[in-house]
Amino acid sequence: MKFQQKIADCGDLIIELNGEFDALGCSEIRQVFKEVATQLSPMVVFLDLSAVSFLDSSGVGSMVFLFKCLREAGRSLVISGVHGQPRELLELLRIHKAIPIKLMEQ
Amino acid sequence: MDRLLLEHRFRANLESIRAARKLVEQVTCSTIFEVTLGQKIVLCLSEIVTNIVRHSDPAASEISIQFRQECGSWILKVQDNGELFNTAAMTDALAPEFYQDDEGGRGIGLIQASCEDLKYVVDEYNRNCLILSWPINQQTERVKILLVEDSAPMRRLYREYLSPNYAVFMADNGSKALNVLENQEIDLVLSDINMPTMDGLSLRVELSRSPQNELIPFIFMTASEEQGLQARAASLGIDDYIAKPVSGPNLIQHIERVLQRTGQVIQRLTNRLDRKISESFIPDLPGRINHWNIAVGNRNTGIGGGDLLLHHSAENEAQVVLIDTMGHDETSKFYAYAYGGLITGLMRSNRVNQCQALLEQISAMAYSDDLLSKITLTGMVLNLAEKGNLMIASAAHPYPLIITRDKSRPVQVEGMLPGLLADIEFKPVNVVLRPGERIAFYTDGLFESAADNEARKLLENEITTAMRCTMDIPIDRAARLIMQKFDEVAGVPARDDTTLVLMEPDRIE
Repeated sequence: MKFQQKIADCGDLIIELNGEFDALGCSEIRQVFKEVATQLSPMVVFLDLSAVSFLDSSGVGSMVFLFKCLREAGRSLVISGVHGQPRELLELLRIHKAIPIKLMEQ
Repeated sequence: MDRLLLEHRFRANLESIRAARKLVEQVTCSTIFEVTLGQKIVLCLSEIVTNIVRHSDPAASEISIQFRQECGSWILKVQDNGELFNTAAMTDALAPEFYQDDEGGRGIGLIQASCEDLKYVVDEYNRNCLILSWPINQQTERVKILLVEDSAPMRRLYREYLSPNYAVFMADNGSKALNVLENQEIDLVLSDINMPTMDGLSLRVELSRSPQNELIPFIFMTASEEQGLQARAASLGIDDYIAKPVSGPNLIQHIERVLQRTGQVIQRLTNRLDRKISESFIPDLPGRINHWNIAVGNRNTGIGGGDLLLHHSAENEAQVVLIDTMGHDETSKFYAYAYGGLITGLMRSNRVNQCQALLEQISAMAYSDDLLSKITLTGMVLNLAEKGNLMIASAAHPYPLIITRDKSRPVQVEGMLPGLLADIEFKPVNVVLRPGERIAFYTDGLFESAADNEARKLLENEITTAMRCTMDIPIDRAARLIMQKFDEVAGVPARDDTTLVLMEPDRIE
């Protein structure tokens, strides 16, 4: 899975993921998530899943891990751009109850 | 109608499971109309095999998967040679705490929530064997309507009106409707205009920008009396406009009128193309090939699908190929013609080849060729020899039937969908027909051209009965009578392209 990090005008960190968020994808992204989790800023991290075509429980577990680390440090995670199968899965697991999900603006 | 669609064995590592998942995705995309069901199957596979690779101790070295259609269900079977599962852990419910650890979810709850039935057995080689099943949806053949309406009571009311006649999908604004359309093939959109987030007019504009969705019939319904709204809606190229409130029968009348009109336009365009090309590809065979009497029956919907029947004979041997290209629109016909050209060329350039070798060549082309890999097909190759001897190879094609006066029995010849892997091997089966026996092979429309599971069972029963009852009359007349029975039960025009081939060894021989 490929990724790109950007800083938005408001200072938030945006991590754009591209590919399949399965167990293999998690192993490719694990180090990035750990680094982001141990930084002190920015306070809000956006995980942009617009270009993620597949998600399974490994990917969900990995996002929950990042969410918990950030929350412990008083920071927050927002999932954005999720659509198709990944969106169906997040809805099935009611992830939005814990992690805010920002849907794509049309 | 039972058949194998995919069989694959791979090393238990994360790279291989991703490749295996893509294979299953390819199969479900081409065989299952309901996209979300296909996604569930792919997700279950991913969860199971990831679990095996990550948690099995001693580790599994190899995983086998099989995906098939059997007794009205989709069946996914996953076997591995790792540590035997702890069945007590498999009763976990789907719970948020499931995901407490980093990537730690074992996914069992998710699998249970995503499949209809889950069985675990230890197979004869002491391997784990998980068998998951999903019912084949009875509504796959119904017209699929997407109802976009923000008012929950109105959605319930319209669903009540529509669900006896159609498969109804719902969204409460334009944005959610786009998400449904991304995951589900829809035949008609019925949309309110004033809605939060994304209104009906914006939804219509979005759809007209999308090449995949721009031609879906679209109906607006609104209670708004705003001057000019109707004109604005009409300027967006919609098919109908309904003023609310609308009664159930009135709503259905509008929908049927739009569907009929759209169908007529598509039919006219297709007919124009078909007349020029299809006639040279109407599935047919000579009445006699070497030592065999043959009869063919065929029905054509005019849209989509595409059955091919080709043959090649030399001296005492002959080969017959039946191909069913799968697809939901008229483009699949184009691919059928492309395959027709390829297979004819392959057959003519060879001496009569082994049946499995020809299927393997077709599969290799389906895998590597940029154009041909865009469509999924099933196929069967039969080599006809003397004295009732047949060699048959199958690629995800329905089992042929051997028919006598008293019964019909399937020939269990199996192979996976062609073109899924670079080097698929097909195992041929030898059949010897005795005097008084016929063999019937066909494309799946013969037993599947029905609205629901019950109608499918009736159709299969009526057709196999007709096959038995016509054993004593000449084969060409028998084929005609069987197809008459098909018309009677399945209706005219057929829902799917359908080809039936009956063969019997020459009795004088």
